[in-house]
Amino acid sequence: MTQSARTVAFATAFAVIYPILYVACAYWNLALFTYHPALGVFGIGANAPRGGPAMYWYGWMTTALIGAAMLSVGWAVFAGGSVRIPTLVASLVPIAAMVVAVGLMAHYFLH
Amino acid sequence: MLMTTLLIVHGLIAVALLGAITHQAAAVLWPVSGKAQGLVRRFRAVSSDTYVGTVVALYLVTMALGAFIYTHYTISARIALIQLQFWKPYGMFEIKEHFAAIGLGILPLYWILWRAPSLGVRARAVVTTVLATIVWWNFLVGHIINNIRGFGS
Repeated sequence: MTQSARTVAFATAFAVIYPILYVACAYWNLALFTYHPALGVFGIGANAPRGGPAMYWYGWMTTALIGAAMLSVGWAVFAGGSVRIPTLVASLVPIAAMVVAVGLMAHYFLH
Repeated sequence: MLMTTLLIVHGLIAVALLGAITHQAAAVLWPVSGKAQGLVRRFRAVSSDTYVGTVVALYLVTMALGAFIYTHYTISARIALIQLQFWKPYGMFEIKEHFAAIGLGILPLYWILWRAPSLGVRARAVVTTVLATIVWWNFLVGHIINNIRGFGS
């Protein structure tokens, strides 16, 4: 089965952009929204905890998904036909993001 | 009761995902040539491309259920882990959270690479291995956390 060039361009760009955006969102707490599970309410942006712990994970993913989707569509439409991201490079970026994510959590293992 | 039921369903679907992605990773990393005889060779000799849609669907369902249960974990088990100063399991779960999110982002590339292998056989092997690593890590950490402070404890 063959895939259209734009679909391939979108998938490769998304695999590169999304992990980078997600790690950046987690590091700088760029959550589109915050969920306060003790109260069962959402807040726009990264809020301080209310009535218990605050959950930013959903907000980080949403920020990264929207950002990566927009950039990847843009890439596929405007550059995907002429400039191709090697699939091997695209497959290695998530590994780098995983290493960074582990590094961000390293302090929990140094207690 | 609802959360306990959902946790069990989450775990059962995760078992199916673990089996599918492990079969596929074994087949792509250690392909069988010739007739498959013996348990290990038959395990590696599966038709890997038939697993793609199943893996994507199971990953999305498992993650959606996990994301829903996560709210309950945050206001119950997570607080207990902090109070008990179980920092290593706590950190392992934080990594699980990040790995699950990163895995979500590679599903489109995983899908494309299995539909069109000519785009990159090595990339396909790498992406499948990364996804298998994420699924294994998340499965094991989920069990460890549940054993420390599961629902109903």
